[in-house]
Amino acid sequence: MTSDSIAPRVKSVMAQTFGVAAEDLAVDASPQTVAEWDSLRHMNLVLALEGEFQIEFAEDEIPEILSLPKIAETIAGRLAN
Amino acid sequence: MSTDSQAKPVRIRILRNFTVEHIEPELKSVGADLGVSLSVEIGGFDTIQQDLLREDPAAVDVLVVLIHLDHFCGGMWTPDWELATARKGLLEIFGLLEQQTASRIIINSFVVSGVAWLPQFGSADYSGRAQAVRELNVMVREFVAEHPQSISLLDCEALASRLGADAALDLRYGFMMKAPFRQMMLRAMATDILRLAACLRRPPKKVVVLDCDNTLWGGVVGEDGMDGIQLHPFEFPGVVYHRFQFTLLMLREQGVLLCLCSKNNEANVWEVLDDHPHALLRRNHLTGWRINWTDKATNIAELAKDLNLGLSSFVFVDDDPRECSRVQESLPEVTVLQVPEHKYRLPDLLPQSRLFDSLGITEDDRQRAQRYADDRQRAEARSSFPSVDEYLETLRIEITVRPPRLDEMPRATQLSQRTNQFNLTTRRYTEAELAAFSKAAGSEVYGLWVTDKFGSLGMVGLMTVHVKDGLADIENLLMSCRVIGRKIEAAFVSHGLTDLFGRHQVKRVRAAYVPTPKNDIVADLWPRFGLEPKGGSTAGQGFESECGALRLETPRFISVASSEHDE
Repeated sequence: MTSDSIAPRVKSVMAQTFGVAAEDLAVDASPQTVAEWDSLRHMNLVLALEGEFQIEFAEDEIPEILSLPKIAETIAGRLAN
Repeated sequence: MSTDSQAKPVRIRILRNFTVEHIEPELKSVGADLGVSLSVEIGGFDTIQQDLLREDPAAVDVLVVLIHLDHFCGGMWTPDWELATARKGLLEIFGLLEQQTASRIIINSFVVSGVAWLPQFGSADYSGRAQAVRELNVMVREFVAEHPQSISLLDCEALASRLGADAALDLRYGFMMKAPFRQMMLRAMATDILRLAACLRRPPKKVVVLDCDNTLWGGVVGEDGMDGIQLHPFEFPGVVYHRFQFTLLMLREQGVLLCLCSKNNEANVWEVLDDHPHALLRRNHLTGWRINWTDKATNIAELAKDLNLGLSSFVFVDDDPRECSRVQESLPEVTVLQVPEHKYRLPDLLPQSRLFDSLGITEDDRQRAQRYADDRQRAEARSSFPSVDEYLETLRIEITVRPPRLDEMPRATQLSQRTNQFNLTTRRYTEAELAAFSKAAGSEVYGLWVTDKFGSLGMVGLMTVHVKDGLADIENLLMSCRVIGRKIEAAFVSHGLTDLFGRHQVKRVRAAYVPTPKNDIVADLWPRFGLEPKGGSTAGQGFESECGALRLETPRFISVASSEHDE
C-alpha cells in the first residue's frame, strides 16, 4: 500500500476526530491549517489511526506526525515492513 | 422531575493535577443520556491548591478535585519517597476543601499505576507503593465520610478494578502526556460525577408500588399456592426474587416507601408476606396496599391520595406489559418499570434506574417509613371525631420554631428540594445556598419541628426571610405534606414573624405566591395572614402589608415550645 492510497483513509479519520468535513481538509493539512488540531486532539487522532490501521506508533513518531502527508508516509512505511 | 430544575444547567468545575481534558466530551455525552444539562470548566494544570484559594463560591455547583498520585507532591516514584509527604499534601487539600461552598464537592480515590502491581505472586509489594496507595485511599474515604453533607467520593479505585487496570489505564499517554486514563475510564468517571450532579437537580422518588405475582416472587400464588411459588434464597429462579426483595428493604432503609398493588385475593398475599419461610418483605414493611380486582391506575391514584404525595414521586413495578402500559397511559406522572425479560436483571432494576440516587441519607430518611405507619394510626383516630378542631385538640400538637443548626442543614435543604404542595414560591436551595442565606446580614432561616401524641414528626417546615430597610421579604415558606391540614402554618408563620420583629426593625412584610401545577392548596394562604395582594406579575402574585395589619394568631390547640436562637 502506498502513501497515496492511504491518504484518503487518514483524511477520513482526521475529519471524524476533528469534527470537520473531509472536503475541508487540504492535501497537506497540518495543525497550522486545521484549527481543531490541538495537542489533545492529536492524542485522539493517534488512537483513531492506530485503530483504523491496526498499528502502534513509536513514542518518538507521535510528536513528529503533524501533517497529513507525514502521517500517510509513516503508516505506509509501517505497513511495508 | 420538575421542569424548572431541568432547565438550569449544572455548573461543574474540575481541578486536577493531570491531563483530563478528554473527560469533557464524556461528561457532555453522559449528561445528554441522563437529561442533565451542564457546563464544564477545567482548572489549570497541576494548580489545585491555587485554584482552590481563588475559588469563587457562587460560580459552581459541583467542584471535582482529581488527583493522580504519580505526580502529586513531587511524585511517588523516587526511592526516598515517604508516605508522609503525600499525606501532608492531601491534608492541605482537605483543609482547603472544607472552606469551599460549592453545593457538592467530589474527590477521587486513587488508582495504583505503573510498576506497583507487577510481581505480586508471593503477596510481595516490592516497591511498597501499592500498600501506600491503599492507605491514602483509606484517608480519602475517611475524609469523605466525615463530611456527608458536602463531600462525595468518586471511587476511581473501584471503577478501575471494575474495568480492569489494562482497560482503565493508558501507560503510553500516562508517561508521554500525563494523561493516565483511557477514554473508557474517563466515561465511567463522568457517569458517576453526573449521577451525583443529577441528585442536586432532581429529587429522588419516594414510593415504589409493587405488583406481587412474578414480581415479588416467581409464579402465581392464587394458583401455585404458597408452597409452589419461587422465592428460594439460593436456587434459580427463586433467588432472583429473593434478592429483589433484599434491594427493596435496602431502599426502605433509605426512606423509600413500599406499597403493594396486586390483583389477587388479599388472604393469599398476606399468607406469603406473613408466613413464607423465605420472604424478606413482610407486612410491617409496607406503607400502603391495594389488593383487589380494581384497575391499578385507580388504586395507585388512591394510594397517592392516602399518602398525601404527588404521583410524580411514584414508581410502579409490574411484570405484565398490559398493566404497565395502562398505568402509564392513565397516570403519565408515574414512572413505570417493567420486570426485565431476563429475570437475572430484576434485582438490579431499581438501583440501575438511578431514580433513587441520593446524595446522602439523613436520619429523617431512615425514619420515614415508621412515620407513615404512625400517620395511619392518626388517620384511624381522626375518623372517630365529629369536628376537625376537636380531633386536632386530642393530638396535643407542640411546635418548635428556630433556625436550623448546622447539622440540621441537610434536612432543611432536603425539605426545600422535595416539598411541592405546601410551597409558596418553590424557591429551592442547595445546602451551600441555604448556608450562605442564613449567614447574610438581615436574613433569618426558620425551621419548624412538630411533635404530637403519636410521636415526633421531625423538621417539617422552613421559612426564609430577608429584611432590608424596614421591609421583610419572605423569600419562601414551605411545609412538608406530613403536617398539612392541622393549622400548623398559622402557628409557624405567627411565631416566626414575631421572632423576626424582635430581632429586626420591620415596618412592612412582603410575600409571594408563585403558582405551580402542584401548589394550589396555598394559593389563598397569604390573605389569611392579612397580607394584601399587590404587584402581581407573570412570575407570581405579590402580597404586602404594614406589620400592624397582620393577623398573627396561634390556634389554641397548638402549644409552642421555647425557641431560643443559638447564638
